Amino acid sequence: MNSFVLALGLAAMLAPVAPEKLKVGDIAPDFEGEWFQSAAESLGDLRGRVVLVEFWRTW
Amino acid sequence: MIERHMTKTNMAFPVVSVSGSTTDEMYGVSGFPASYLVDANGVVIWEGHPGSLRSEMLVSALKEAAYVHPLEGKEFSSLNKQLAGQNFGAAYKIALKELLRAPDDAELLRAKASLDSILEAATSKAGAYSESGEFGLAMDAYEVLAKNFKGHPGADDAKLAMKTLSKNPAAKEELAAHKKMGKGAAAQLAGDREQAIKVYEGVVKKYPDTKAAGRAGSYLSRHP
Repeated sequence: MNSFVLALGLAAMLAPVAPEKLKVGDIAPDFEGEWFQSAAESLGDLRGRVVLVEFWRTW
Repeated sequence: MIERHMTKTNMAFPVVSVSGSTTDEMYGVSGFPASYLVDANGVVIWEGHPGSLRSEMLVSALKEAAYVHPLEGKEFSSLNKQLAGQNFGAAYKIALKELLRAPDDAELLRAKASLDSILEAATSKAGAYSESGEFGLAMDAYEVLAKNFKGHPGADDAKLAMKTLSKNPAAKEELAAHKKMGKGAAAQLAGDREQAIKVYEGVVKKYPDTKAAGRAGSYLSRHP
């Protein structure tokens, strides 16, 4: 029983628990999707502009 | 459904619909709402809850981005179009022409003053980069300047500065390192962190004495 718990604990330590957060100084990665009401169709198209990327979701 | 809602609520900004969790994972989003302020070079300069974004942060980011507020008035639609496309050289030409017609027009005078100050700020920024040995960043800054102010004498000055820089033997190593950094940035944009790390490790190893290596090292320390 003890070894089983340890294995689980180890697996939890090895597996990435949460995705690594993008940090200040990183380049914001592009995302694939459908762009509404936009002449741009990728973040790369918006170079030269300040962009506020806000994530929301539908449940 | 998204489009209908956008029209109904007069949303004046683009919305991107993504499915799955790939985008969340690339950004490391774990709660909602989550937001990221991205500067004119595509670099994240702030991240957090949208409610905690300070206006000072936005103002300083917009200043850096060479933004000219559109002119009020239907007669300025072609000028506004050039401003929106950041074709500042073409916009400048239109503004000068319109000023001959209406020398006291406050909107035109404001636009011209904005363009003058953008050109001056961009030129001095590129010069400062060059002086501090950041030859790669200087080259990029001159390139953007030459593109945005095409048709304006300032663009010719920028091109000349680029030519001089590319011939400067003291800048050779830095420019080579900077070029490689561009590949790392492209990998980051594509969401390929592993490849970015590989490229930056290469820069640190091959060009250890450059400013670019310093930046590569700082990325590597943030992503151990």
